[in-house]
Amino acid sequence: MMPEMPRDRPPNGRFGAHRRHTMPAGRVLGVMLVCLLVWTLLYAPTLKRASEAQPFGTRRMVSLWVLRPLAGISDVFQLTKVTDAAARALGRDPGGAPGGQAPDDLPTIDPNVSVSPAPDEPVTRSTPMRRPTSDNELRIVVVGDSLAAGLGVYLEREFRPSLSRISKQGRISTGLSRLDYFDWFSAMGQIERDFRPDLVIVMIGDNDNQGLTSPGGQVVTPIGSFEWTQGYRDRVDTFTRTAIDGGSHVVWVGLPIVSEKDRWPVMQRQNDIFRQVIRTTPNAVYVDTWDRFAAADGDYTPFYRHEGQVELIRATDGLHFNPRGYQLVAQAVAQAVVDEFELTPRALNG
Amino acid sequence: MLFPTVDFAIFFCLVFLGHWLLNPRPVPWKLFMIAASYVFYAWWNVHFVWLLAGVSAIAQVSAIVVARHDDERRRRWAMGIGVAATLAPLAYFKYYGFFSLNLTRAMESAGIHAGLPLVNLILPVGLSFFSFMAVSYVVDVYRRQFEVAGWLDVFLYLSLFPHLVAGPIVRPDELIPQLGVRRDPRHLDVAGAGYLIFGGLFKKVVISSYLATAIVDPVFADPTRVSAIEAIVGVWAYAIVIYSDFSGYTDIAIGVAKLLGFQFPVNFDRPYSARSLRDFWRRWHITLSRWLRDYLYFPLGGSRKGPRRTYVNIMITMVLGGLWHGAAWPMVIWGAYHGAGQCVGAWRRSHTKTTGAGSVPTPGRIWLERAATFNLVCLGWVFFRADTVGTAFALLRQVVTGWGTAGSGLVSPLVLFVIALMLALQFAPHEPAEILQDRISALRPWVMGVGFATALFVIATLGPQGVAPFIYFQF
Repeated sequence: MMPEMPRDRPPNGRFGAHRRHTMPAGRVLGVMLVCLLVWTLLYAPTLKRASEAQPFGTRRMVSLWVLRPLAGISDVFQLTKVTDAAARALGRDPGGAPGGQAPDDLPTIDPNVSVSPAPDEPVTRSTPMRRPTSDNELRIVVVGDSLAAGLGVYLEREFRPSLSRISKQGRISTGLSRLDYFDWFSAMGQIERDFRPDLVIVMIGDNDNQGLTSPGGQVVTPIGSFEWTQGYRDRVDTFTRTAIDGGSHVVWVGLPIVSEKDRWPVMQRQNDIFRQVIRTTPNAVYVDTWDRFAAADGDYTPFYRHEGQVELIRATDGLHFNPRGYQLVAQAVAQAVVDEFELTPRALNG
Repeated sequence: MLFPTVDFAIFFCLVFLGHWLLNPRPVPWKLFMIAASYVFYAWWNVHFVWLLAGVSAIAQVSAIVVARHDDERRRRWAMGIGVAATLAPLAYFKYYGFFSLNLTRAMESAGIHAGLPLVNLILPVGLSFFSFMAVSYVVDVYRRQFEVAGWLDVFLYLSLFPHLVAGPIVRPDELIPQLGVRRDPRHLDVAGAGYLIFGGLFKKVVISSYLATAIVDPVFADPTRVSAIEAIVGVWAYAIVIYSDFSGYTDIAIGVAKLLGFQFPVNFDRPYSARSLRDFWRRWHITLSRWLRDYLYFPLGGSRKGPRRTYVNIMITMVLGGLWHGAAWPMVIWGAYHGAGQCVGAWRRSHTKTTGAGSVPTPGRIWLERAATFNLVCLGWVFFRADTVGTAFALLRQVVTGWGTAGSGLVSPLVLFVIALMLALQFAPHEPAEILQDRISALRPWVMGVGFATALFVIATLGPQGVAPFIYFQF
């Protein structure tokens, strides 16, 4: 038999003796369950939507099995109205896709700035990028997944602040496969309408090694099929065209080499698709990050050797970059914009 | 497993039930809690469970060997080897990559190609915390301050899930005795625990996340784009972000432990009300500060070997404290900065003692000291938060030269209000919080449950989508 621990008694203070009521463990469990139940009922529709967007598997199946009836109860008692009203009060869309938040709110273009209208017809030939001024800065948007979110931070340092305005729209865990999780086509359309970017920098695809779904969540093309390659190419093409036909130039940053070799075949196929689409699209350029950051023997390395110096450039997950790595990618992007789109080097820092 | 997730809520309900059902039976209870804690740890990476078990086994074997010897020399050797073996995984996972890379760079710039193997390893979460706790155990047994505990007790002491991944760094004499007594299931302070858990969640999910996205991230992303005012407010905001993040986590950990009948030590005591850097370190991450004091500063000689040696010992302790937070040059600078600040403080104290000056400080002087200390701490945070030393200096340069910069509209009334509110709370009395907890404790269980759900609703509504990992997880 173990001795018993003395009880924790709150001290008495100058506001008088404290009267702290305690509770037996059984009742505490009751409190926790009531709390969980009420909270789950309040958030069941949101949780259900998030579960539907999870990768297909046991976890998703179990979550939905639990949440569907709870969401039904929530609907019957109209609890959703409470959470929806709270979300609207904070300026959020309660029915929005569960995809992660972008680092920046999407800016709208200043009405005093003169912007050339979007082309009436599809763009068929390349044109140089306009010369930015301090009154009419270069509008740049960075879109994509977590790699784009990281890249956005370091791209900001490459472009001169007085001549550029950068909006970081990278959203973690998103891609072009799962439109039910986040619909990048709608988002790109809105970016073109509201921000009218001169330059769109894309780094996406790391989360796309799964079946292609419709915005409603149906799998339209399973991963590994011949149709997947064609379907993915169509999505890359549509996405790029949305930007180009909106009047933007596009830099598509390829997927970097990763430590997990099992992922190489799909990622290299994706990079081939990106390269092929960009090659046939005007005002678009592809920036390679696979060979650029691979070891001399073509294998993965977290280090970068250049002019006798060795630097650590990758994060420990074997996928993302560390700050120095993102800086190198950002420099490559900025150089490509100057070389391929004839942007004045004055727009860059340093 | 992160605390503010549905996964943890379900996990904790199950563990809570098992914990109290098995409470009267010590051995099954300990086995259950160890298993639960290892599941909690395996949620991140199942392979590192072996590391946790290995460090626990090394610590226990070392303590047994130390305790077996009466000869002081042998005891010291056994303790030294035990501590080195306990810290070896930490040294490898956290520091080998940093030192090998910097050594290779230095040698290659001197034209020497040594061919050191370079690695970039994943740091197992919580390794810095449970390794330090393991060292405490071995050293306390060596110092005869603590008897060798049972195997199950040591494994549970090091793995108990509320403190496992980000502290507090609980000492053996604070936790192991609690594992040997039966906790009273009839009198749980659920109001106190709930206050800590939901208060901690609010600090992390609402305050920390808001200030981080509203001003801190943009300011540190590219300091050249912000004005001097934005740079200054951004650094103040970061002081609140890191405090809310880490103290929020600690509050949740202490609250969760409280529901299981455990008492954890306090880890934060209004750090921004400190009047000196020494005072700050007595209030900030208290369990780490006292660990560094008891297991590093004192063994180095503390202040017993004259002023010069005291300054050297302070610098060693603080630089290593900086390195504990991360194997990177900005952390070394941060540690050295605090070390230098404490040396200046030590010199001032000895000077004041000699001259007898500054006997009774006026209220004005006290507030001046607090303001100066807060801003000195903020200056250190610049290096702590910046991704590179260059970014830190770019931000400091902007503070000096950025008064003509137009800025990006980052300083909003809400940002200033949140910073001011959190700073004001550093000086608020404890009593109102105690009274609030008393009132909560008088509620009926179902009302309390609905009230806690409402608190969760408010937190979830005001917070962003998803939850960023706690800053201190990376250490």
